[in-house]
Amino acid sequence: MHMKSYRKFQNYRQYTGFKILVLVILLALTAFLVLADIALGSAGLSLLDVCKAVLGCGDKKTILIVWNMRLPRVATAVTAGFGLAVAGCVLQSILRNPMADASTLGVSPGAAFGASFAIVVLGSGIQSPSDASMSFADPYSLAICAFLCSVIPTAVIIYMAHLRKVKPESMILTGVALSTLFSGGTAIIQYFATTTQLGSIVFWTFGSLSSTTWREVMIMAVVTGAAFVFFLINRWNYTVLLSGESASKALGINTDALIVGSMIVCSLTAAVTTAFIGILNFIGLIAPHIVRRIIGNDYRFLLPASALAGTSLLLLSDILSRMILSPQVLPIGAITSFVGAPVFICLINSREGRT
Amino acid sequence: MIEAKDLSFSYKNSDPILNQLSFKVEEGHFLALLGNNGAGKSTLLKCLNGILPLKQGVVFADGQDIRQMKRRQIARTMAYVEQSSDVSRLTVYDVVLMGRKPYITVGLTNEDTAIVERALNRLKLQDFALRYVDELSGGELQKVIIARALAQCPRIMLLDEPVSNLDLFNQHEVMRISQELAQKDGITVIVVIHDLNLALRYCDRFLIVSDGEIYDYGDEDVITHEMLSHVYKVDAQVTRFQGHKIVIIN
Repeated sequence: MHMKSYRKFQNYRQYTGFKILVLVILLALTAFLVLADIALGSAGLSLLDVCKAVLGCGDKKTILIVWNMRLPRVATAVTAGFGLAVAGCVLQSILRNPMADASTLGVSPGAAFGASFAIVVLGSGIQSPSDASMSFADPYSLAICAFLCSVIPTAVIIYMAHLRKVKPESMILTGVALSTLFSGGTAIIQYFATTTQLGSIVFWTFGSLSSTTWREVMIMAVVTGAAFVFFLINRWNYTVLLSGESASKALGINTDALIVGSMIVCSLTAAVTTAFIGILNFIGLIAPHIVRRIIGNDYRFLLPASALAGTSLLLLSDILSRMILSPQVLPIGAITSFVGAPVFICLINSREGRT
Repeated sequence: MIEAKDLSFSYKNSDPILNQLSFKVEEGHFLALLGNNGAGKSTLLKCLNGILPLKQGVVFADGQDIRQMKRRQIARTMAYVEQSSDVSRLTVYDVVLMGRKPYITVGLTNEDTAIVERALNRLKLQDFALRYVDELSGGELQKVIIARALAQCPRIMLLDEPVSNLDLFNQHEVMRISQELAQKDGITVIVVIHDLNLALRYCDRFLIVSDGEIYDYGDEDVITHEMLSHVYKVDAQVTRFQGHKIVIIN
C-alpha cells in the first residue's frame, strides 16, 4: 500500500479503525492457516473434521491424530512464528535498524554452535536415522546448550550497550562479528564430527517443527507470552524510540533500561525458540516489514500485527514444506529462507523504487 | 523558569565543554543561546534537560532540582526539540501524540486527544494530520516536532537550531510561533540559533557562550561590535533598521 493513501481517511479514529481491521484480517488469516495446516496430511481430514476434533468432538481416531500429531506441530509453528516476529519487531526499534533480528545479533549462530557442541561433545546426536520423527538422543541437553550459547552474544552486546555505551549500529556490528566467531566454532566442531554427528548437526540447523512435545511447546508459549506482555507494556516507548535516543529521553523514557531490558527479553524469546526447533531465518526480519508497510510504525498496532504476520508466514512455510514434494517433508528452515528472501527483496525494491 | 548553577560538563577523558555556567531565565522569556560552532550550546541544552548527566552543578526547572525528578516528571515540565528528527512511517497525528507519552499510563484519554488536536490547530497542521511525516517538507516537519513539544504541556521549551535547514518564510514562522509561546502562554523558551538578525527580531534575552563559558547575558544590548569580534571573530556593524537592531557583516 502506498503511504499517501492515508489521506483518504476523514479523521484519526477512522484511521485507527483501519488498523484494527487489518489486525482482524490477519487474525482470520492466521486462524485459517492453523486449520489448513492441521488438516494437511495423509489422513485426509477436512476443515470441518479438524474444527470438531479441536473442540473434542468427532471420531476418536481423528481426535487422536489432531491432538497428538498435528496440533503440537502447529502450536510450535504458532508460538515460534509469534515469538520470532515480535522479537524482530522490537529489536528493529531499540537498535533503530531495519535489518535487526535475532540472527543479526548472533543468537542463531550461537545456538547452532551450542547444538553442534551438544551433538559432538555431549553425544546428544540422532537416536536412530530410521526414526521417522528424527528425534535426538538427549533433546534437553541439546536445547540447553543451544540456549546457553545463544545467550552469549546477547550478554556481550548488553555489556557493550550498558557499560560501554556503544551506539546501536555498533551493537549490530558486534552481532555480526560474534556470528562469524560462532560460525567458525561450529565449522571446527563439524570438522572433528563423525558422519552421523555431522548429519545430526545438519538436521538440527534445518529447523524442525515436528520434534517438539507439548511440554516444549508450553515452555516456548510461556516465554513468548510473557515477552509479548512486556513488549505491549512498552509499546509507546518503542514508537517514541524511533525518534532517537535524545528525543526519547526528552519524552520521559529511561532509554538505557528500556534498551537493555528489551534486548534481554528479545534474546530469551529467540533463544528458547531456536533451542527447541533450530534455525528459522527471515521470520523475525520480514514479518514486521510486511505489516509496517500497511499500518506504519505505531507499535500499538505493529506489535500484534507482526506477531500475526510471523505466525502466518511460518504456518504457510510449514504447509509448503509438506506440500511441495509430498509425502516428503522439506526442511522448514530452508522454506522460510525461500519464502522470506524473495519477499524481502520485493519489499526493498518497491521501497527504493518509490524514492 | 529555568536556572543553572555552576553547571559543568565534559565527555569522558576530555576537556570541559561547559565550565561553571550560572544563569536564570524567567517565565515567559524567549532566550537566544548564541555562540560559535563548538561553543557548547547544544550540550548546554541537553544538560538543562538532563539528557546529558551533569558533572557538576545543578539545574532548577520551575524551582525543582532536576536530579530529584524522574524522566517522566522532567518531560512534563520541559520539552526539547532536536536539531533534526528522523521519524518515519508515522502520521503527523502519531508524532504529535508522542508528546503525550509522559502522561500516558494505560491508554489514551479524551484529554490527550484534545491536547493533541489543540497543538495541531495551533501550528496549523490540522490538514496534514493524517499524512506521513516522510512526505512533509523540512519546515512542516519542524512544526510537527514543535507541536509534539507543545503536546507535552511544558513550562519550559528548549529548541536546538530549529531554523537551521528552513527557508526564509519557515524560519520566521518557527520563530514567530516560539515567540508567541513565550509571550502568550508564558512558556520559557530557549533557542539555539546562529542567525543573529533572526534572534534580534524575535528574542528578548541573549546568552552568549564562548569556549564553554558565559561571555555575556542580557537584553539586546549585549549584541555589540566587540562581542561579534571576540566570539564570532567577525568585523560587523550593529545598527538599527525600522526600530530593530540588526547586524551587518563588513
